[in-house]
Amino acid sequence: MNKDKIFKLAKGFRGRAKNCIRIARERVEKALQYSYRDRRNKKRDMRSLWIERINAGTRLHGVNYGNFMHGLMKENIQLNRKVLSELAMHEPYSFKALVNVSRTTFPGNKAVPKKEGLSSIL
Amino acid sequence: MDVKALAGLRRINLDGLRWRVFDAKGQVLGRLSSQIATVLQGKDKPTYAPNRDDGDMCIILNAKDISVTGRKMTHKFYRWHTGYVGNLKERSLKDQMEKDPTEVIRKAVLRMLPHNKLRDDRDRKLRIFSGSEHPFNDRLLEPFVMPPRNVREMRPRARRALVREQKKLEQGNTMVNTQRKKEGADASSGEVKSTDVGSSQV
Repeated sequence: MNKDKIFKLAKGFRGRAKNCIRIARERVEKALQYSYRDRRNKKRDMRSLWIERINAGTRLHGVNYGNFMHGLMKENIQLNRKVLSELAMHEPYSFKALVNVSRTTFPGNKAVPKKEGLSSIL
Repeated sequence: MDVKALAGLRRINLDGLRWRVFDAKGQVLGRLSSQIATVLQGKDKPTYAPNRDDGDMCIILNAKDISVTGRKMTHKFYRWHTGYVGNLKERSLKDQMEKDPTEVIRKAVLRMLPHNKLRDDRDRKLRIFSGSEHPFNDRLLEPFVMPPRNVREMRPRARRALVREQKKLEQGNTMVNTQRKKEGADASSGEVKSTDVGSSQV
């Protein structure tokens, strides 16, 4: 009874793990453990992917992710990172408007003032 | 040289990619390489996805004019083991630059990319040239503007050494100038001017 279920779950495995019950049972158990763990990891991975995308999108407009989110929090804009990353990918003009809103509230990125390098001595 | 630059271009599909040009003249090695690695991974695009390679083609010019701070030119060593017992070979940055300056930047960038299956494809998108000539002049090229950098203040001792060197150069210049003026005066008017060159303190 269990064997059929295990072979059904073992479809696509490499080598004897899809054919021989002793090996398949181990691999299937491990696969189920991984899938349990990764259902929780997926939420983390997706969030970090959204943050990377938002970062890339805002840096095109001269603002980095931290200052952007701080400005949004100040303005009490409660768009989540998923929506923001979708906007950054597919709605560039709306995203630029959001970046401008954030920049007026919190102008974090100034052009760095050139510290005295070699030119001051000469 | 030309053939190697064009090699493997057919393997790179998706020409929705931009061709970014980096000028390495006067740039610091590591700081430039980290920018190149970001562009090569495609992390400056909001459509970044970690499972596919969407980076732009990067062309780097003037690789022989790359600069490093400190004593790295003589003290930085590239080491590799050939596999045979006792054969740890090393080569300094200076020798590597004489041998092949493009390898310096290539190693730096490759070691900054994530070590996964996409690394080879990303390497294929990287084209480095020692000089400023490249065979991609007919493509649509975009120069890459490096982000502004705040240079640290010089340490007091290094600063004083620099000031000393500047003064020496200026003294050398003024000595040459006064000698030239003297010779010019002699040639034109035939008078001998006795200027005491050694006492001129600037």
